[in-house]
Amino acid sequence: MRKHCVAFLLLCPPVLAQQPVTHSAEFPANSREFGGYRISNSFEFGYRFANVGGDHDLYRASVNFGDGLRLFQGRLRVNSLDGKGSALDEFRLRSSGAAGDPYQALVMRVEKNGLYRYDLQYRLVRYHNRLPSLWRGEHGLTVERAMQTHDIKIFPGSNFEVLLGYDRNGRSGPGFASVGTTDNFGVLDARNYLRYQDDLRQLNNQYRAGFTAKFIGLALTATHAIDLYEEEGSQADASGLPSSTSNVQLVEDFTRSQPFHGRTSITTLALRTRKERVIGFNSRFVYAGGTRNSTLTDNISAPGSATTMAGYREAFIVGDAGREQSSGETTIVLLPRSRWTITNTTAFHNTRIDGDASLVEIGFFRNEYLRFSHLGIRRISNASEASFKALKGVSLYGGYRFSTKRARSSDALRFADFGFGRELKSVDNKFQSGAAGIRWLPGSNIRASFDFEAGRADRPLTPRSERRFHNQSAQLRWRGRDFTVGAYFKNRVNHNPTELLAYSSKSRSQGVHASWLHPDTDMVLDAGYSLLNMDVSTGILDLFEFSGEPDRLRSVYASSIHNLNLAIRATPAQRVRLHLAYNLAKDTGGDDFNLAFAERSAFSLEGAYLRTSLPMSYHSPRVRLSIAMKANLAWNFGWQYYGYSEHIAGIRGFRSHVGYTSLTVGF
Amino acid sequence: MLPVDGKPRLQGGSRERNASPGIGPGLSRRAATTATVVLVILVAPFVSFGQVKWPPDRHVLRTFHEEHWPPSQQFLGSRVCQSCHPAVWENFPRDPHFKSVALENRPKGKTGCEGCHGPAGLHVMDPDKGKIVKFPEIEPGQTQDVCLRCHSEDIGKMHIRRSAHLTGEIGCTSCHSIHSPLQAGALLVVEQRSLCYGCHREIEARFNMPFKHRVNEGAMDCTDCHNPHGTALATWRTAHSPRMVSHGLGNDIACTKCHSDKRGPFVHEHPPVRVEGCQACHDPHGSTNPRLLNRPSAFVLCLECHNDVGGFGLRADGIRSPNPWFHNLADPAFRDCVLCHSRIHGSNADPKFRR
Repeated sequence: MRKHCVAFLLLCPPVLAQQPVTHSAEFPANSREFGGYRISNSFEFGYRFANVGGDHDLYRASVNFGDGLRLFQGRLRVNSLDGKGSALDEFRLRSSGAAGDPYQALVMRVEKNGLYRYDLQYRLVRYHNRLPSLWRGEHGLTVERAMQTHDIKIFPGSNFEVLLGYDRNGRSGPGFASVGTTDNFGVLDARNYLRYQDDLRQLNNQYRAGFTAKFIGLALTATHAIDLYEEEGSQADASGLPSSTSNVQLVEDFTRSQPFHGRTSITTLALRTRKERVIGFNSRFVYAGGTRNSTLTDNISAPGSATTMAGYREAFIVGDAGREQSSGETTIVLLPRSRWTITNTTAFHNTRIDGDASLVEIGFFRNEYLRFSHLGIRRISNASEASFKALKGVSLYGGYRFSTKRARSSDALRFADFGFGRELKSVDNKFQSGAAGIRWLPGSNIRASFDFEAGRADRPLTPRSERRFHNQSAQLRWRGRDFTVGAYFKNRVNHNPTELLAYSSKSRSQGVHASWLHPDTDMVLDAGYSLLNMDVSTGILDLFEFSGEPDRLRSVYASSIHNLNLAIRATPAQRVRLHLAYNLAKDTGGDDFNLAFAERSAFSLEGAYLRTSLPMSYHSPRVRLSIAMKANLAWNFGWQYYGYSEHIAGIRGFRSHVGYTSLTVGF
Repeated sequence: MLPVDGKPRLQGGSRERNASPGIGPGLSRRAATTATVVLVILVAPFVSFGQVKWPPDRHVLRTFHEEHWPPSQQFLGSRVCQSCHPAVWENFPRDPHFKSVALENRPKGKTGCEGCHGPAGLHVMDPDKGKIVKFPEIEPGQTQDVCLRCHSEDIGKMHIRRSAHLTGEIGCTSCHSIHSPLQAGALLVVEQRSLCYGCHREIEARFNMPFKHRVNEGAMDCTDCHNPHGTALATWRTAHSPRMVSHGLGNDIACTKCHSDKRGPFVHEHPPVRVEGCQACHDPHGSTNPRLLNRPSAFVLCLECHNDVGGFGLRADGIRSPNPWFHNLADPAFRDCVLCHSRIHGSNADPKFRR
């Protein structure tokens, strides 16, 4: 019976979360011994196809699976049998989506016990950055982000560990950019801002070195990292391009170069107790000092406009920014009695950002000015929390949190012989909140918890920030022999009243889920339903057809997202595994809005109200069939349908059939 | 205790020598195991259990390799366990905890089976009464006390005592399976995202949205942004929420670990990025809106803050609204603010983030 229950607990969550079109979570798990090592290996390869209808760009921005041969998943484990291998004791490799998939991941570990440990993580994400119609009719390009992290630990587990690391994070793809021209009267009008697509290449290299030393019951970790960043963006030879909006002058030639380099130096110190008897503590300090240097060169020629007498303008901007950031925290842990756990954390954070940029612009006028800006943020925080085991199976939790934050800013502009500026000014925001919770575990099968938090902030930065808020959450789960039933509820309310309009947001999420295992056939049924509500009421300026002093509009955003998951996993025959699932996400909005003004953005203007909502549906049935041909060989077939549609004027969406056939091989 | 290779070696410290029955170098492994079991069975009835309760209280669990145990609770070594639990031992060499057995450099109370389950002396003598730490039978708090005897020194677990999981009575074995993990390395009960979704159903719903980070596709894991073992106080927002989001190396928000182009510094910073964090405008898990924005219309998102209402902003005099003469929202060209203000996360050339 126990084995039966354990199998049930292991099987239930994967059924719901499994994504058939990516890979299978099931692998032949056999292993063999060779030369003092145990080796297990499995990989799944095959062909994926995709048939897409509707908005292809939207599909590529959201799903982006395409056709082609794929190595869906690969796993290799090598372990020495006695933990005393000659060069390594463990080799572990896990990859997914290799060979052309838009989402690829690779995790590898090589370790010799007590001597070294090497970890590698590699990720690649490729998606379509969907842009609206721009100056030249661009609609976006593919963004590719590749990240790799290498970590080496020498003498792991010893009293002195050496830490070395290297990160490389690269991104290539489009970015928004704009350039302004003047109209026929020499006025730099907003409509004369030409939006175009810049091809950006960004690269981040980080080198790390440090150590962990363990002594007299303490552990000290010190690391130093150098982070180098470079970004190149350029736009060249954009001659003869038509504008996409009216009242924009024809641009004859436009080039822009925008290199952007930087360096950040990061030092981290962390000290902690190695054993917690009655008291323990840990402390950490981080200093990061970084600079960014940039230049921007614009050359634009727009004959017919008043950009210059000859329709030409050139701008050259040099900018330097520096940020010094120091932060740290100390946590004290008290374990006075078996029933009590008390923690207190005090943290500080200080950021100072200074930047200056000089501009030289040659055109109809010659502009030459220097800008300076400063932003400082200082925060001191304290959190005290206690857990108390009141009775067997009942524990209580309480906490009080306080923080004070000061933001300081100043800026200045020097133009020819004139200087303008705003003096250094600071705004303080004090925040405090209290939290309480109760957890009830009457047995190993039932678990219930309730949490409450209420807080106040006196001067938040934005109308969207937390000001007067309270949260409640409750969760219940009952695990029986063959079933699991659960429910949750979360409510979050934030009031941030302003002068004329009360900003408030309410979000609620609630859901139920259930799983059932047929005891004889190992068939698993899993179902879950969630409802995510969000209502936001705030105020914005009425900038629609402005004339005279702008009025204020009450802005209402409402969202009600229904999410449904159904999954069945069955073994209809001895060697056959079948997985059926269905997922639906549907936003019905918060009201029956009259979306008369709706275009691609879903809003309507009704008197003094601006209502925003995006009714949409996104559903995805899927099936996966696996047939074990031999003990270590399985044939798989999977299919998934993606249907996305926005239910507003001018329905937009896509529908796609994505499937694959593959072989899973293992030994 | 015999080492794992069965060859004799010198014992460790004096306490270990006293606790071990002492086995001569000439005995075979089976003989040594048999002799140990027989010796314990013969001696144990004459030894008092002392004041130790069962299950042991927290201080005993945190220090059970030391003086809290009665003399009868002797460490016998993992080889003794192997004789009755061969299936567990068969997979143990693939377990990270096996390193301590292989390296033979840990005290007996911190290595092998007894490193977690406690000394097996009484258990061998009377297995039915289960005089050993059985994790399914103890409370989550007691489980974490055992695990943190060794793991509290890990830098990634510095804040585990104040993590939402431990204060919520989610013990280590709720997520980790030492003997039968489905995901190696971290010894997770199931694949990571499935494990997290098991409790965080509303987050699972978010990842089923059309626009989301690619967690379901396998390109990311929850732990890329979160540390389930607790984190330091956030350096953004009110410092107290969110509570389980990890930091970048320079204490930046976790998002900049991948989105390093947004990290800056910039000559002209967009203050909410530094003060409130990325969640001021984005829903990081998933959204019905492109680019994970909080609102379907960009201008609504921007104007909720940029409305000149006093009391807000860096100078408490309101966040500047767009020039009404310049921005007519009736014209669709002005409804997507970032089309012109394209460097919205920060710019080195323009305080209005246009280039």
